[in-house]
Formats: sequence, structure tokens, C-alpha cells
Amino acid sequence: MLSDWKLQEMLEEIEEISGVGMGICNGRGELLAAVFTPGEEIREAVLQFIGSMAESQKMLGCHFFKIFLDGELEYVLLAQADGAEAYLAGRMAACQIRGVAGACRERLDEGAFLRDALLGSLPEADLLCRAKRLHIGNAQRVVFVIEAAGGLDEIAMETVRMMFAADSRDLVTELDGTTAALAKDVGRMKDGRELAELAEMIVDTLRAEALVNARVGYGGRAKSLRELSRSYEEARTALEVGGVFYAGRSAVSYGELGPAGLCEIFLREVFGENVPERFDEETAVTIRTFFANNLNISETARQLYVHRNTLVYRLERIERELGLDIRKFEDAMLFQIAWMVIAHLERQKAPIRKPQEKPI
Amino acid sequence: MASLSLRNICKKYPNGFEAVKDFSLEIEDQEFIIFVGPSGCGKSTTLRMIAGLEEITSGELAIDGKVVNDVEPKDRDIAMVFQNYALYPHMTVFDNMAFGLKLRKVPKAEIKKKVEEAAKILGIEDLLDRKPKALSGGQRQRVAMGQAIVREPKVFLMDEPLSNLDAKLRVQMRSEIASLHQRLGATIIYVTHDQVEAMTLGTRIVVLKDGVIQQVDSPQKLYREPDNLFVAGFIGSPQMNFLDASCVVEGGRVFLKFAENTIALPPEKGEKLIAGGYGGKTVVLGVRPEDVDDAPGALEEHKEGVFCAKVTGYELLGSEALLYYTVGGTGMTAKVDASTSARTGDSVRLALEVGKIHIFDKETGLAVAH
Ligand SMILES: Nc1ncnc2c1ncn2[C@@H]1O[C@H](COP(=O)(O)OP(=O)(O)OP(=O)(O)O)[C@@H](O)[C@H]1O
Ligand SMILES: [Mg+2]
Repeated sequence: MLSDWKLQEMLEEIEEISGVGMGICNGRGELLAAVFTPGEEIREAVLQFIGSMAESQKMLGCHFFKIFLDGELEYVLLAQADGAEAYLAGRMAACQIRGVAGACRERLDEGAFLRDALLGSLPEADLLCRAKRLHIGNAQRVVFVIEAAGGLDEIAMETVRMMFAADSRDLVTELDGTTAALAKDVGRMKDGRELAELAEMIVDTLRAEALVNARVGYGGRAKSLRELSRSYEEARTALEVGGVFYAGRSAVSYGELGPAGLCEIFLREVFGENVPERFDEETAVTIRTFFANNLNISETARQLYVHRNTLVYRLERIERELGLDIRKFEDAMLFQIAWMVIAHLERQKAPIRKPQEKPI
Repeated sequence: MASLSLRNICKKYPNGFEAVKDFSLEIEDQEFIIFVGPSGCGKSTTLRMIAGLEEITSGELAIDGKVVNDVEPKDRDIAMVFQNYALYPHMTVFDNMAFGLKLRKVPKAEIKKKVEEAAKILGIEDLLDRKPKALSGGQRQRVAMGQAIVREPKVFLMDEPLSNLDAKLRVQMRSEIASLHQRLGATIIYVTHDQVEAMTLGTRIVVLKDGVIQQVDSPQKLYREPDNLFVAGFIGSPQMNFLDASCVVEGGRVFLKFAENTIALPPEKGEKLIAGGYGGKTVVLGVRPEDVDDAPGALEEHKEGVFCAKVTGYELLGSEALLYYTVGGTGMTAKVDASTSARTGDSVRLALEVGKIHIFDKETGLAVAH
């Protein structure tokens, strides 16, 4: 649908050209935009006019025109003053608005197309066929999901649309009252940093222009229209999981969250900033033996051939370094899991290990 | 324009994190006030609560005497400027500035008037027909300011608006913002994590840490009389030096001992230490690098503040030099004349201006004497 501000702009321009003041109502008779203030009696006349068969009519010093789109009543246009020019100007304005509204409906179709593409609900052939009809080309795109708990009003939606109106490969759609999606052409944005900046920019622009506090999640690159639904799923996940682990951040990418990202977050939760990468041999053996002996200090000391105090000293040093007291069951368990995670990450970084090499 | 009153404002995020704690502040009409503090201290959160973008957990916010806790952002008469602003790429500068008003269905003639006025204030009248692509970084930033100015808000909220600009441009835009404030006659709240920016811009600065106000004062006052260790260390560059010293009272005079050194305090500082019962206790001595000197004249003039140190580094800044040195294992800095003969490895005698030293309580971190 044409937005009210756009209608307002058109009416003002038409008044400037023709000198005729106009107003426009929707098919239910509600005033959307006007350059004059119609009285209560005119509102009633509009409803009466909608109910009538007439396509245009003159009442109360105004010309009334119906504007149909695809056979349905879309708008009622009012042109003030009753001279012949007012009638002419009114008809021309009605014609103009019908044209623009028609083009706008196509954009609406584009939005509907994007929604279907994101949900992955269409067979590929249908998707491509519709894309062709709407002149939506192939491009490498990333889906950004924009969510505002307080709701995305018309001003917020228009702000997002205008930010990306310049490139016809960028597609925007409203998903529901609180979320919108953008499929952004990222063919020229090679760097992940650029995507992060774009996400931050969407957030800041919505705050500044629309006074809306939004969060943005974005997915991985989609090389085809088919893949948009995957990128969308990822963007959703980024928003959800990011809301838990990165509560303070307003923009989160799926890339940061994948399994590896979650592992990193977990390790940071456990160790803070200093995640241990590797232990020296002595420490590693001490920890392994200590665990093998069910956290029993005397038994561990005996097996390691060290004095009990030496072992206690080592464990205290480990506590200072790790922030975990592995003499306590809870910390020991946390450490065990963290150790497995570290080993897992190590393996992923170097997938091909020589067979004789043992993990720590 | 507008005055603001923040009374005991707290913010607790849904995950339980308390980002802002008991924040109370009166901001006068047409004031230019700065919020400064390290990353994560709650500056943006506070700003967003003022804007209405973030709910206030407890406490009261009033604009012009009217409590606005439950007033929608759009009805608070504020405008925000951020670092990651977007200009609409396909619109001219004029349309970029006009767009927000168009969306709000402001009549065309009025929009034209407001945009032209804002352009004049910003000195960008000649750019109105250009597209964003054809603008420099500084010009774009001005257009972004213009988008806020055309709304004629009572209060401007600026969250690190310059941090995406390069250093040189940032300095230039800083002074432009200061003069913009004069021309607009508006209340401006400006957030930055950069203490230098805060010190050059602000008439009044709010220093924040961990969601708690540490001190609200003029730049001069923050520099000369920091209320606590945090403010003392945060404001000023290079940082203030801190050193543990024991406070000794002898014959009515107060001395500070550290490593092998003893310095005598001037009576007005000494009295405060005695009154606070610090005799025989350890206190934290704070000295700004610019208050330590190695010039023979200074050693002569500030005899009571002479101490020994080992030089660990030297950095020429131009007419001045930074000396890095240690005293009893603590690393410190002095800003001295570039002609200094001290070099790495030397044992030197330095003089601190005892009149300018700061003394803090070691436990609470609060200032005892300046
Ligand atoms: N929605 C949120 N949920 C939970 N915690 C949050 C949320 N938003 C912010 N925080 C946390 O609140 C604290 C203050 O954040 P805020 O953005 O206000 O800091 P800041 O002073 O502006 O820092 P910076 O200089 O980095 O911008 C941070 O620790 C941040 O992680
Ligand atoms: Mg911030």
C-alpha cells in the first residue's frame, strides 16, 4: 500500500500545480492525507458516496472520485472547489494516484515473494518463475532480521525501505508487527566487518529516525534465492541465541554463534578472558592423575611421587591461573567439560592429526 | 528548550544485569553536558532511557518538570545522533534532511523552511542538491546532525557521534559541535568514552563507572580535585601515577614514606591526613606526570618532594619528553623538559610538587587531600 506520507506529498504537489486542494480517504472512508481540513459533513458524504454506484460526484462544494485497483475500491479522492478546473485536476490526480498505487502493489508483491522465499514454502520452480515475473535477479544475499520488541511502526518500516531503496537487488519485507526482514545484496561486501557495520547502522538509524529500539540478527551468505530460507533461519537463530549470550549487543551474526562460537562463549564463561590454550606437562599430568583418583589428594600425591604439600601447592597455583578450584567437585566437573571443549576446538582447528599424537 | 531531572534512576536488564544504579542528576536548560566512562559503564543505556528507547526500571525522569517515564519516545521532543548513521543513498542532502519530517507529514513549505534553516546553521547550504556519495566524511556527519536539527527538539542526545571519523576530522568536528551548541541554544547530552574529548567539549562532565556516577564537575575540577582513585586515573593523559606510601606524623608535620624516600607534606594537606586519622597508616599517593620534574631548578625549588628513581624508558614528544621510571618496583611516568639528560638505566633524583599531589584512602579509594 502507498504510505500516507507519500500520498500527502503527492497531494501537496498537485495543489502546487493546479491550485486545487485535495484529500484522500481509503475504501472505508477514513481520511489518509489532505491539504485542507474536511468538515464532519464531508466525511459522511464520503461514506454515502462509497455506498453509491457513482464513479464521481459533486457534493458540498467538492468533487468526489473513486479510485479502483484490480477492480476493487482503493481510495476516494476529494477535490475542493467546484469549477471545471477542479474537476479536471481531480480526474488527473485520480489517474496519477491509480498509477502510483499500481506500481506500489508490485512492491507489495515483492514483499510477499520475499516472505515466501524466506519461509522456503515454495517449490523451486515456482520461486524462480515468480522471481522472473518480478524482475528479481540472482545475487549473493544475506538475510537480516530486524526485531523491535516495541513494534515496528510505519515510520520504522519506511526508514528501512528507504535505506535500501537505491539497489533493486535489496529486498525488504515486513514479517509481522515487530519484525522485518532485509535480503541484502552483498556481492560487493567481501568483509564480515562490513556486514557487522551495516547491522549496527540499521539499529542506529532506526533509533535516530524512527525512535525505535531494534535488534538485528543476520545469517550467512545465500548464493541463490533458494538459499535465502537458510540465511533467514540463521538470522533468526542469531537473534534468539544472541539475546541470551550477547544480551548487551544489538547486532549479532550467526557466524559468531555456530557451534565453534558457542564453545568460545562457554569457555569465556568458565575462564573469563584468559582461556588456557595448553598446559605444561607437569600441570597436565597432575590434573589427569588427580581426576583419575577421584580428587583424592593423598592418593594422587603417592602416585605422582610428590609430597602432599607439593601437590596442594600445585593445585593452588592451578586455581590462581584458572579461577577454578578443582578440589571442589563442581569446579572439577566444569573443568572436565571445558577441557573437552578445548580439545574439541583444537581438533577442529587441526583436523588432520598424526595417528600417534594423543590429545592432551 | 528544556531542563532534565534524573532522580534515582536504575536500569536492570531482563537478564538481571544492573547497568545503571541510582543515577541522579539535574541538567539545566541549554546545558552541554558530557557522559564519559569506560566501555560498558552504562552511558548509552542512560541515554536510551532518556530517549524512551529503554524502559526505566526504577526512578523518575522529568523533562521541563514533567515526569516522562511513561511518555512515548516520539512525544518526548528529543532527537538522537549516533556514530553509525545512514544517509539515504539515492536522495539529495535536502531530501535526506527532509525525509523524517515527510514521514511525519509535516507540510512541504514548513519542511523547506526547516531544512534551509538547519543547512544554514550547519554551513551546508551549498550541498543541498548533492547525493551522499559526493560528500566528505565531515559533510556527511553534518547532514546526519541536520536530520536531528530539523526536528527542532528540546534535547539532543548524541551517542559517540564522532567515533567513526578519523582523528583529525574528529578534532575539527568537536569544535564545530561546541559552536553548534551555541547557535542552537539547545540542551545537549553528549556521550563519549574518550576523556580527552570530554575534557575539550564539556562545561560539565559526568564520570561513570559500572553504572554509578563517580563525579560531576567541570573539566578543571575533575583534573585538579578528583573525588576518587577511579576519576583520578581516568582523567588526564598520561595517567596519574599511584604509589602506596605510609603516613608518618612527626612533630606536628606529616611525611609520606615510600621505598627509601620521605617527602614532607604542606601543612594544609597534612592537617587533613591527621584529621582523618591516617597517621601510621598506608595511603595512596597520586601524582600527575606533569607535576614531577628532574630539572635542577625544580629539585632546588621542591626540596621537600625529592625522591630517587630508576629510569626504565624515555620517549620524546617534541618540546617535552616522557620519562618512565620505577620507585620501589612501582612503574611511574614523568613529563619533563625534552632537554633532560636522563636515559634508560640511570638512577635519578626527581622532584614532585608537593602542593599538587593527591592523597587517597587505600581502602575506599576516596580522596583525602588534593
Ligand atoms: N539489552 C541488554 N541486556 C543485558 N545487558 C545489556 C543490554 N544492553 C546493554 N547491556 C549491558 O549493560 C552494560 C552497559 O551497556 P552500555 O551500552 O550502556 O555501555 P556504554 O557505557 O555505552 O559502553 P560503550 O562505551 O561500549 O558504548 C554493558 O555491560 C552491556 O553489556
Ligand atoms: Mg555506548
